[in-house]
Amino acid sequence: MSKEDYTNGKFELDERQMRELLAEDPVPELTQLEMDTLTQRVLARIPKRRQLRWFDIRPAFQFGLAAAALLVLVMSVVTLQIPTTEIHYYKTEIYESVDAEDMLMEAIVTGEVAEDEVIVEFLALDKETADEIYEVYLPEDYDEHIDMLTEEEAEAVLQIMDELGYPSEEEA
Amino acid sequence: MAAIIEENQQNIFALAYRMTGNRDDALDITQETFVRAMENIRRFKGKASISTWLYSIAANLSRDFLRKNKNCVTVSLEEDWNPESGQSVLEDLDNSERRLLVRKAIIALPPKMRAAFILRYDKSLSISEIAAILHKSEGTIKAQLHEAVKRIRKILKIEE
Repeated sequence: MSKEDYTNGKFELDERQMRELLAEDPVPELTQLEMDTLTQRVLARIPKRRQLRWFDIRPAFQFGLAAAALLVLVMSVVTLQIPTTEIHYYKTEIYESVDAEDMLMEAIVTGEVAEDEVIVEFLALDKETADEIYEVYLPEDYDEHIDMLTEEEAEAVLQIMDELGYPSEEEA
Repeated sequence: MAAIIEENQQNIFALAYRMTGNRDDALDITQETFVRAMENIRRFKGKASISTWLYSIAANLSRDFLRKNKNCVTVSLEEDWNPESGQSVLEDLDNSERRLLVRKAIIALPPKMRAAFILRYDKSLSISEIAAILHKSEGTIKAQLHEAVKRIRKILKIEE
């Protein structure tokens, strides 16, 4: 059948076939409740009702995505401005991984460090603990102290030290 | 206005339903059609019948809807389930599949062609009425109907 057949009125077959086809899938009837609701909503000019579907919330999703991207950008800028802080934390973490007290004690006993304040800054030790370690483990220069005494006082001190079992200068 | 709504809502719903293949979307379009009609009632000149005018609004809204949601149109079968039909489950399933196939075949038509097809074969309007509703010449409508029938036959494998 050609397009011209419509003009000539020869389309009964199409009409019948297509109507039969549509009759196989009838349009559902509106219920009385639906019709009443629809009439009321139209007369009240209430905006059409609809359930939200994913494409309805897409603008909100896009807004959220933009806000998140902005937040990441701001955080990146802020983080870039404090690189030294990161390096400081890095060093601290390395020194915190060893026993700071043992490290300082060993350094003093082996003579690698006499009284170096710098190393204490890098160790995770408070000043009080570090001072205590220095006081206990730093070798004493007895002569220096003795030089400040009178001859009698020095002799008395050396005698006390002998009694306590401290080694003499030659023995040490 | 209430009388106009009551008299025409089933026909407008039917057009929207055939256009979208979905009951919820069709209800939305039906409601929007009457809201638009109320807002523009003063522009109605009375040259055509009120039903023709309403069909025209509904067809435009349906096409707008399809354009905006061209990737999201859902063909629903849920409203077809009828436990009191007296048919067996298998018969129901066969009928449902057939209905879905018909609906998909109609949905497969381009929106303008689909509107012409529905108005002609479902609403039994004349070629001149369809031409007035869709703002096309009668020749264009005849050509669209011819092409629509050809495509439906091809999809559903119907012989002439």
